[in-house]
Amino acid sequence: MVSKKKIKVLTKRVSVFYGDKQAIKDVNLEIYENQVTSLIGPSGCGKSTFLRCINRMNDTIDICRITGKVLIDNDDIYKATLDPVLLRARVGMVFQKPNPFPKSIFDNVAYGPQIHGLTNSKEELEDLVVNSLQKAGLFNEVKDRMNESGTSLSGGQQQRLCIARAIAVSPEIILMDEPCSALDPIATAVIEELIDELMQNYTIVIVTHSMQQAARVSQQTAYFHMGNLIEFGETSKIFQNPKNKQTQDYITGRIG
Amino acid sequence: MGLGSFCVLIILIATFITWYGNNKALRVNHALGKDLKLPSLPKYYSFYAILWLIIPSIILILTWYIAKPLILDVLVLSFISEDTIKNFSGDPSMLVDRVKSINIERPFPGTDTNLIEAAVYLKKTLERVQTFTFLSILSLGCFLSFIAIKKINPAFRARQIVEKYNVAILLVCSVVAIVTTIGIVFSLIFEALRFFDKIPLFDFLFGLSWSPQMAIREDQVASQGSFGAIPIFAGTLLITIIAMTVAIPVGLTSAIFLSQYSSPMTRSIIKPLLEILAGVPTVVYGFFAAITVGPFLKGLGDVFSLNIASESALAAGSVMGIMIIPFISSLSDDVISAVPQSLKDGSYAMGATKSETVKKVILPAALPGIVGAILLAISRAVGETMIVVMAAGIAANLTANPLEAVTTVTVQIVTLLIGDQEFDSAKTLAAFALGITLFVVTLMLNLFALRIVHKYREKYE
Amino acid sequence: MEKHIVTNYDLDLDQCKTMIGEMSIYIDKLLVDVVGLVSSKNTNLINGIFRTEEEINKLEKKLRLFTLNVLSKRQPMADDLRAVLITLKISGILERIADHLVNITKKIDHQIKIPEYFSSKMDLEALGKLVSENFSTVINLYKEPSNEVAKEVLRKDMLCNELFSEICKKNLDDISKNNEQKECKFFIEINFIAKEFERIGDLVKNISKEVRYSISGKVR
Ligand SMILES: Nc1ncnc2c1ncn2[C@@H]1O[C@H](COP(=O)(O)OP(=O)(O)OP(=O)(O)O)[C@@H](O)[C@H]1O
Ligand SMILES: [Mg+2]
Repeated sequence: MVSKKKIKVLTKRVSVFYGDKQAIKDVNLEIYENQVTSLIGPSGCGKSTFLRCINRMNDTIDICRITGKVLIDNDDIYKATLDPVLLRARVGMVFQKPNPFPKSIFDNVAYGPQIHGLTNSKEELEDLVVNSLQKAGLFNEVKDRMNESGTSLSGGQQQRLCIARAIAVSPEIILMDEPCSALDPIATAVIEELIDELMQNYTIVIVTHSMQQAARVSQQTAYFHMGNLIEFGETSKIFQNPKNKQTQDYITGRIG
Repeated sequence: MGLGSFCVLIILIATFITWYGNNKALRVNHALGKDLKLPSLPKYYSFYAILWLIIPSIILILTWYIAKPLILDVLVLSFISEDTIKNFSGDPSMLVDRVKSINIERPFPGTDTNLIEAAVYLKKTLERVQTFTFLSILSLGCFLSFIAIKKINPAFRARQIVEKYNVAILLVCSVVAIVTTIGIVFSLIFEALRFFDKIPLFDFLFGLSWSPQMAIREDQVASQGSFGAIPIFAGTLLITIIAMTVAIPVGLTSAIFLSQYSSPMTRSIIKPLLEILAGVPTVVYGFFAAITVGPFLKGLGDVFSLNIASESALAAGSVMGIMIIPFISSLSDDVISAVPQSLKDGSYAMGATKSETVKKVILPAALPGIVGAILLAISRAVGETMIVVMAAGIAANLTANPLEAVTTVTVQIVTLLIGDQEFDSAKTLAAFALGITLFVVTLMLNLFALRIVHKYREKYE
Repeated sequence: MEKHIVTNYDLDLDQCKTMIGEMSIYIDKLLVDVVGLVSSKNTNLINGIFRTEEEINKLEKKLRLFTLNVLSKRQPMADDLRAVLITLKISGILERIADHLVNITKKIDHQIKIPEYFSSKMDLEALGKLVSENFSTVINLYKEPSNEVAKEVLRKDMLCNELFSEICKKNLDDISKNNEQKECKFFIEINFIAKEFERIGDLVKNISKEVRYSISGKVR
């Protein structure tokens, strides 16, 4: 069973520094294709930092430095010849706080395809937008108001708009940094359902503070603590019977 | 005793009362024991006492200064002998004025001795009366505040009352500001109405010719003058447009550079420099425009065999534009920096480059704020006088050619009011009409700008 | 084990254990009574047994509600989750044990007369006592898990099984020696009673399995 899973992302001894401060320490992790991998851990343990390594979003922070290797499809994404702009088209990202651009719903989704020149005609673009909105399960709610501002949507809708925006450029991997932390249970459930569906076509990495959510949506779980990867394994194992005491203390809510 | 020593005294007394009231309140608190306490902090009680000292004093002092002239008149009149009054040809009040104006030490030779005596008497009594009044005001204030301190007991809630007075004081101050504004507007309106008695409103607003020369002699030509404001508003518009064509692109791009591209190091150098630009007095810009830019443009025009007036709208407008650059760039810098990082991250995560992010996300997001900044800058440009006076001339040409001399509203107001004028001639009054029109225009611009800025502000969250 | 950040969480988990302990005290009593019944029929005892069984049912319901509440309130994870889970399961098992004991009681109650002596009598009593003993052991195991105690439970269970086959054999002998129909029926009944004890023994073993699962997290 394990041998069948294809490794999509592989990190080798990845360390990240903010100035002198080391936020990630020698992390080796495998992320499997068409699976959901969740990253859990106490606040400040470096989950977001690690997530941002995978699409080189850390490049936008001046003081941030990374060592080690991150391989996507066995290809080092930090090699000099690789263009981070193209990389980010392959690795989409959804943030903790919904951040639709202050543009129309249509333009929000069309943003990626436009900057990457993915479509040749207006019709094609429209199809792509509709398609992405449908995949994000938002189309029916917004089909009559495509020209309204993206910020006029509810929080949950905004987050799905951001997901639609991310999948419009057909990435291979979608990174989600606490995508449901600002949402109510219903909106959360809708997004979780969406994640289940997206899993067929995308590889998903999700940071979450909700143990239950990690248990629900992911197949693999990685537990981080103070920049170290403490435990990585099948989600069911991690949550029912973790091997490491630190993991156990964290997920059961003990002082650890 | 003068007002100065009165103020010093009252401050000393107030300090003492604060200390005393505080102490008293603390003592009361102590006496009450552990379980019970005064409902307000001690400082509120002393503050309350000070209110009783200060508010009546202020009111009484004001009354005193209002009543003083009246009392003076009565005093002087009662002192001067009947004969002098009878002998005086004018109104008795003029006599009083004369007495007041006498310099006691070195009276004008030949002044009526009776009047000099009156003046001396007046000075002495006035001093005495004033000292007496001040002292009684002070003692009344002290008395009232000591009663207030006596009143300190657990049933008395000083905080609530002090808070109420605080609100009242704040209200009074803001009312003063508002009343002043309203006063300005009304004075403008009244003078402008007088102008419109002479010149019809329609002619003023839509007339195409502006030559406010009034005849000094009856038979002079152009005795009436013409007061069509269109040329000068057109001139204002022209200069503003030129200024904006200079200021907006430069200001905006420098704002974008400063907020998005520059390293903190560069930013820390360039920003203060821009702010220095904002600190240059407009007069300096004025002669820069008149002496350097104007002739330069003229020379440049000569090269291309273009006829550029040495006082041209272009010279004034472009220098005005330079003056406004820091204004636009620092305001836009603020709104651009206010665009949340999450939006930028969102764009970068989509694989957008920096310039794409600036163009497609940051600018649209900051646009309302930028528009607001521009509108504020425009109202600043419209109100600018000095540069235009020096560089664009005062000839009211109706033209859209930036190479000619034009004039602006503010410049005209200045020229209309310079020199000796009767205050009821149409020429002088025209300044007020221009003023109120300009006021209305800038007011609208400001309101519009503020509305835009406000409306979109929440959108960032 | 370290304490939880939320103190009430610890209290809840403790309460789960306490409730199981409470139920097990009743079961202990039932076991003693039923074994006594086997040695000599006593109507007073019989009524007492029925009442105790009702108590146990009530407790089981209470415990079910409580664990449900804990589950929804705390959403436990890992070892806590397993602890709550086995509480639920063990309470079910305890209730089943009580049912079996009542079955035995009923069978004895319906028997008009029990012969003074039959060849497997001693063994039957011994079986009951053994089961009762093993039950106490397993409850101790639940309260304080240890490898030795777990092994002890298994060993005693083997003994139970041996005793049971002993009883079966003896009964079969008795039946083949006796031709009278009435007696035959009696021996079959004895067989059933023995079978019930043996079932209880199995359930006791299941409890130890649950405890082991809760410790190791592995389903075997
Ligand atoms: N831009 C930054 N500059 C300096 N230090 C940073 C920066 N971003 C994060 N850090 C540090 O790196 C560490 C890891 O931060 P990170 O944001 O990855 O934590 P996290 O696990 O995502 O926490 P949370 O669950 O609160 O989001 C923290 O100690 C933080 O202080
Ligand atoms: Mg984070």
